[in-house]
Amino acid sequence: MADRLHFTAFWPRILPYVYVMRLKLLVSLAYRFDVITTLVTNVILLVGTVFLWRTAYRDLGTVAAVNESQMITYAVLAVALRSFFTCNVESTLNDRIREGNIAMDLIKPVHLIGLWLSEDIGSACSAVTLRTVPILLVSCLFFTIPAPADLPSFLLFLPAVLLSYALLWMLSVLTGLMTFWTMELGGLQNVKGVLVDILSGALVPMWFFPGWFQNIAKLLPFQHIYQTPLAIYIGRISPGNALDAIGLQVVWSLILILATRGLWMQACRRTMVQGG
Amino acid sequence: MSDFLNSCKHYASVGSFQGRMALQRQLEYPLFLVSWLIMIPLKYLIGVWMLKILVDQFQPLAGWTFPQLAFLYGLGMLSHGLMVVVSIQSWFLDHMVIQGGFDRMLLRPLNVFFQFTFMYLNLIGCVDLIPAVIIFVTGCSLTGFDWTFGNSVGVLSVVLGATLIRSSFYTLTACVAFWTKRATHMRAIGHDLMERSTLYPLSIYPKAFQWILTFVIPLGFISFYPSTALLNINHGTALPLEIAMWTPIIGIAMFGLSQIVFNRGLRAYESAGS
Amino acid sequence: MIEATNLIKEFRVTKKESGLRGALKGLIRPERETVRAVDGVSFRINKGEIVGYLGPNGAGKSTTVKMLTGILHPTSGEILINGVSPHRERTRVVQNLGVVFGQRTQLNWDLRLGESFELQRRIYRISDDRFAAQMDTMRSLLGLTEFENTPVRQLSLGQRMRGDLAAAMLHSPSILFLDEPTIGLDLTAKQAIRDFIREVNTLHQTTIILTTHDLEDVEQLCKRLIVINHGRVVEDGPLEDLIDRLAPYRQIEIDFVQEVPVIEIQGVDVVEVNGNRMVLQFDRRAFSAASVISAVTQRAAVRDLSVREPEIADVLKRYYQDSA
Repeated sequence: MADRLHFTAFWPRILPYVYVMRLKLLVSLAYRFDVITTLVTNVILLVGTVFLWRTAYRDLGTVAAVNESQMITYAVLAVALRSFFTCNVESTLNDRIREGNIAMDLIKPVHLIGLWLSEDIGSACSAVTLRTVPILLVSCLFFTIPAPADLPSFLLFLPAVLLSYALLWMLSVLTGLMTFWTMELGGLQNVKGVLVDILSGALVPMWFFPGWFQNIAKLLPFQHIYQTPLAIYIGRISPGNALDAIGLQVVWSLILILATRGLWMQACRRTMVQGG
Repeated sequence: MSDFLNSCKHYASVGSFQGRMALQRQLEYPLFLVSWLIMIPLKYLIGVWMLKILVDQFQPLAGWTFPQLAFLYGLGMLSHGLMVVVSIQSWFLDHMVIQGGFDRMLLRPLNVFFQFTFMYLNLIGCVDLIPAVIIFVTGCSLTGFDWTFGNSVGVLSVVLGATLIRSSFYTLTACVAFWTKRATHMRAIGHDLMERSTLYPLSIYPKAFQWILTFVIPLGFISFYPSTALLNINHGTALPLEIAMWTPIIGIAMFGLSQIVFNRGLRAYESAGS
Repeated sequence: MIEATNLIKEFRVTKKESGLRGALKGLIRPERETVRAVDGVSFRINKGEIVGYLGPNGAGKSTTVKMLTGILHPTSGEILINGVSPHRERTRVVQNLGVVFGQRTQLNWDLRLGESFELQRRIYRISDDRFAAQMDTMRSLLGLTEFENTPVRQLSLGQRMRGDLAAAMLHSPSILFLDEPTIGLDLTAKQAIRDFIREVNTLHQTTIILTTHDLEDVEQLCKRLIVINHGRVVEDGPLEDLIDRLAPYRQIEIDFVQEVPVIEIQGVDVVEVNGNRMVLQFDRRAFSAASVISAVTQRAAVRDLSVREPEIADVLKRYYQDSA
């Protein structure tokens, strides 16, 4: 009985978020052309990356404790993850703040961050169906079936991916919030994008870089976005060490949550004072 | 004849004024310039560094040593930078279709393709030329490239021709918007395709892809084939070295094609509205 | 002179259905249908006329204007502007047209207003003398001097609209298309724009086609109205004739001393009753106001009354309601 009551109180509260997710899904489906073109860009990226690694590994065996098939799996999954790691919250924040609509948003009785997270999750879900699955299919048909190292690796991979998305999402919120202080710096988004591309291991994993660079990367959260889950998946991080890696992800998540909350409070205060 | 000359003068005066206006516009927003100045060189310099790491950790890629790869990368980036400066509006053709930018152009007593081609001078794009020059010069010195008169003319004509190829390609693909009336994202496809075929040697791809990027979508002529000719590398495709330097010819041909398709698209737009 | 003959414009539209199923269907096999936005529109506008082009939203107004200005090609039908077809000889026709969109500016957003004028000078190849003369005229008519050096993005809506009008008139076009020129402006700004339009028409006999929802605009400026609905011209004629024909009545608003009496007079209708107030309506061709008033005062004591002429709003009500 208590459970029932709990549920009836809970459901109306999350209903708006669910509705938002569904709406995003519908919107994605409405744009046929977009669906095809974004799929094509992902396929081009996939093809380009796989052939680059194949060429690099030509007639070589194992480099930096990773062999060719592992690296190809890594590359395929990197593209797969990238295809649904959507974080539109960044541009949403940027636009709303610049156009001055953010004050209106703060009046709404829904928790804004929650709303935007729901939107992005909705986009991510549609992206998985429309982009990730086709890419994996393309890989299976033409390149390789991206199999995990073993079952434990796969099981540990899953929470790592969720944490990765959380990290990326929060970084996007932080960048978006910066707009409050640097109105015209739309370029900050791009800077973050570049940093993520390089330091996250999405293109070239850190273990190929010289030692000093790896040390710098270790101090930053970026490599936990792509490299950590993918390294677990291909087994370069053994299941035993994976828990440590995931632990690091959790630590960074907490840091970012605090940073986001802090910045959000500051931003709200600033809006209340300045009027949006 | 004097009619034609008058027409030329007319277009020249409008074009140069619009160029000047564009420059003034960008100087109104200096902060954006700064962020671009940080990010773009970072992105491409690290990009070429990643290539070095791959060569160091693995082996020369498809027989291309790092000096040769740097030369290729830099040459590709030069035309990219130039294109971003003079022709960036080809990236926004689809947005212009949606937001009625072409309505505005149709209301003016000027050829619309001309207005479109010369409407903007993207000063910020010069930032893209910074890593381009650095990387290309590095590649030249590392490969011991000889700046003879012939080679210099070759490089210049290739860069100019490649710029035409790039901008025409963007324009051509974006023209779909005239028919579909929505944001096409073809620009992203074009951008990715070009990066993959100009920053890395085509030899890393299977023969079929090389064939397509030579004879169907001639992106190979932007930096790959010219590099093989200028550096005297046997690239293994069935293309004689003389044709490897046909970049300017292909550039002009593609420009002509883009004008034809653009005008067709504009007519479809005039028939169907927005 | 503008001559439109049997203009037809058809669009092919994709039918959208609601819900998840509909969205999926739209993805795989979308249905198309043909819509006639403009369905046989004909009219003739002479030099120097100020014509109001009215109609509810979606009636086909902007589609017609786009065809007249050469932006859109008609599916069938003919347009001749001073004897030349805009969709066959666009640059030639456009040289002589001025267009102002109320909701979108033709000015360069980031730069000073003056730069946009400079650009217009080069586009339309205006000689230095004529340019100087026109700029002076525009300055005095629109008060441009105070904000000529301000970037357009910092201008108020009224200033921006004045800038757009000046830019459109710089090359002394013989025809001016105005699409909602007073939208969003305050009363003084609106009046300034209306005065300008009238002035320009008087000075240069500029033909003006005005699309607007603001009826005050119409009342002050337009001698002639063309009303379009569902893609067809439903009214076309001098404003007074239209009012006479479609709203041939007068209304009298009466405040009675005591309660409202029962009024039963042949041909006089009770439109509204509100406490001691009553509004009567009668055909003005059949009765004079005086006779109605005397008939009413005979029946009950009157404290106050006023006579109300019909307005354009009354004329257009039927069309706007019809499409709603």
